[in-house]
Amino acid sequence: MKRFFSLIVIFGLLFSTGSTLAYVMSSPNYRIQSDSINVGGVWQSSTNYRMEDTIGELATGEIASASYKLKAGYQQMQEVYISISATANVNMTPDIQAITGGTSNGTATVNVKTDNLAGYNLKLNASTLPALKYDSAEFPDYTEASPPTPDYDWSIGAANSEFGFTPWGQDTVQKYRYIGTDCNQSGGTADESHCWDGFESSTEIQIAQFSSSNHPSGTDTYVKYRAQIKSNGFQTPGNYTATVTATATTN
Amino acid sequence: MNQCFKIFTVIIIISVLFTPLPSFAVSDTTNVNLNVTGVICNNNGICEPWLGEDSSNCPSDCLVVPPVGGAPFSPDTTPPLIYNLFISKITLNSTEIFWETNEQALCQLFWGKTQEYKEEVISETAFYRKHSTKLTKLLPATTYHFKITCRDTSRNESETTDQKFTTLSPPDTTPPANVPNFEAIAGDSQITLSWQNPPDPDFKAVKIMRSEKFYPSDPSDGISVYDGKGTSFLDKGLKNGVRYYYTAFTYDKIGNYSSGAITSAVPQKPLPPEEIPPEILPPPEEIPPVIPPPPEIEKLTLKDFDFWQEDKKIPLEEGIKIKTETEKPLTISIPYESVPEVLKTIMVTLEKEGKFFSFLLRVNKEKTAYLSTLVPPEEAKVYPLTFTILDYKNQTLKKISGQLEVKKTEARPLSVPWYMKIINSVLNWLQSIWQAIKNIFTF
Repeated sequence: MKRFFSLIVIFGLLFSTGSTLAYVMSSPNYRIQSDSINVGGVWQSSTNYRMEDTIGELATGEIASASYKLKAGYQQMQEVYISISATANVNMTPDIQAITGGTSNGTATVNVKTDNLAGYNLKLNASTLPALKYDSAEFPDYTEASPPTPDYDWSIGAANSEFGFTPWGQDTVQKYRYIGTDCNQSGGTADESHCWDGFESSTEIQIAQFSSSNHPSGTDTYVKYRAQIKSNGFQTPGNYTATVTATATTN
Repeated sequence: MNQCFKIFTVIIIISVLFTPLPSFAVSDTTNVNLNVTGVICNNNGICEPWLGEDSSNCPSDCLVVPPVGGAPFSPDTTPPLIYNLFISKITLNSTEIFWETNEQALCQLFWGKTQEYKEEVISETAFYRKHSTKLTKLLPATTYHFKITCRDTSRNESETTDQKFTTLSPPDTTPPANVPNFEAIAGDSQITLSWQNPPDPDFKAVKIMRSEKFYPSDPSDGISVYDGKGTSFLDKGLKNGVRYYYTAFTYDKIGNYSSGAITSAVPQKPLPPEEIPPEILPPPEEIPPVIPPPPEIEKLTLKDFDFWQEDKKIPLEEGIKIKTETEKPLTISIPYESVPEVLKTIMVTLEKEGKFFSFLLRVNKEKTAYLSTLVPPEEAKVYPLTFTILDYKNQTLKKISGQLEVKKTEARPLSVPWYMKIINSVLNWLQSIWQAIKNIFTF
């Protein structure tokens, strides 16, 4: 009996995978999302339909308790859909004069759709450190007065130039919501004018999350980008670019 | 075998239970672009290679000039001198400002209606010695303040004192009021005209035009019989039995003519006293009979006319009464679109002491209204007022009656200082004592 129990545990561990893997085996070029042991199956199709069936699987069926539902079997595997669509190019306006300075703004929209019953979360990261660069010239990333809490109002030093962002939308996380003049307030407001933050290179910064499905229309989250050169600051003239990646993950 | 199958089944179930739901992730990328304009060289006197400055693209910062005579290098701490500041080409709503600095400088001009300069800050984007800027969208006849700050390449700053200028005033397009009490008294082959000149300070003269057809409608219509500052004129050499129509136009130094005061008379030979016919009153009796008016004229009422004194609109009371003050010109107007284009004449007639004084309403240059400005009678009372609308054949289309109630202009009470009140009361008291003493001695 003891041997039998050990065997079960070993098999269980062998079959189990890490919580974030979305596949069961892989090669450098391919990944197999899931597999099963069965005796047969076939693809069938007509003009309008396509069907895949499997026969000979063991222990298939549906088991449910108050808190969980198990759909066992290859064909019962839950297919979770998630998609993301972000504004490809944001051209900030107006241009900033290198010597006299100024402020420029631009807004991107990120739409996330998922039928995942547990929802999604959305994170941003920049491809470089700092994010906004032109050849060897660069805008420092925005620095908050009390990191990691965003600044209620955009504020940089008199001789500085910086690049930052603030997200808003119905799924904006608490960090970017404010009550009064304080950010990181539960149940607060998120808008395009307050709670400014800076990128931290490849470190992902969560900006939105939702704990239910939102398909078919999805949800828009907006990201306002701002760059500023103060009157005593200076930036080398040129076309600066920041590449920002938005990643949506199912919960 | 059966035992093996059971074990395998349990293994599968356990493995399914141990396998968590997978997590999926998707990404998309945004390129955020920003254009920073300007030249690489920031002219701050410091060579900054990390900003792209070098001796070729930024000689002012990076070209090393050896100190003359081996003297030690001393930093520039002298602010730029701002001089030759002048304001030019002032118009109704714009001006240009020029100034110079004794070295290359980057300047800002702050301007506004007060010394807080709240309207705008104009910033230069490069260093210059000669500077200029244009201010636009200014208001006419308005005083504006401005100051200029300049900094040199070593960031030394200087600032002007408060400067100011006043934009031009719009041209005067308001004519003087029409002459009051314009009368024509017929004689033998002559007519005596009399009037009063209006109180407008820019009044220059009166031009009287005559016609045998109808009242001259503008200063070039008919024959000019008088042009001067007088208050009467004898028009001789006329034909007896012919009606002569006169319009008196006042004008100012710029040449703005009033809408015209009108009168008419028929010279005739004097008749024996027993044959003198009863006096026939001038307008409106002499105007051709009323014909059915078009609907847009028919619906006109006194409410369609506007009355103004000192730029204040006077409300119509009880549907017929306009309350005005003496000494202040009264402007009467009706919107241009209220009457049809075919209309020829609108006149307003004031009845005063049994006489009728009429004035034309003339369309303004902008074609927005028909206007007439007249001086209300001096005596405070109610005067009947009649508007007469004629068509191009001088046929009366409509008459609208109202009342002009004239009140004396209220004199502003003079404020008496407190010490004058005390002195007055003491004097009154002394006067009463003196009167009492006089009475005693008289008694």
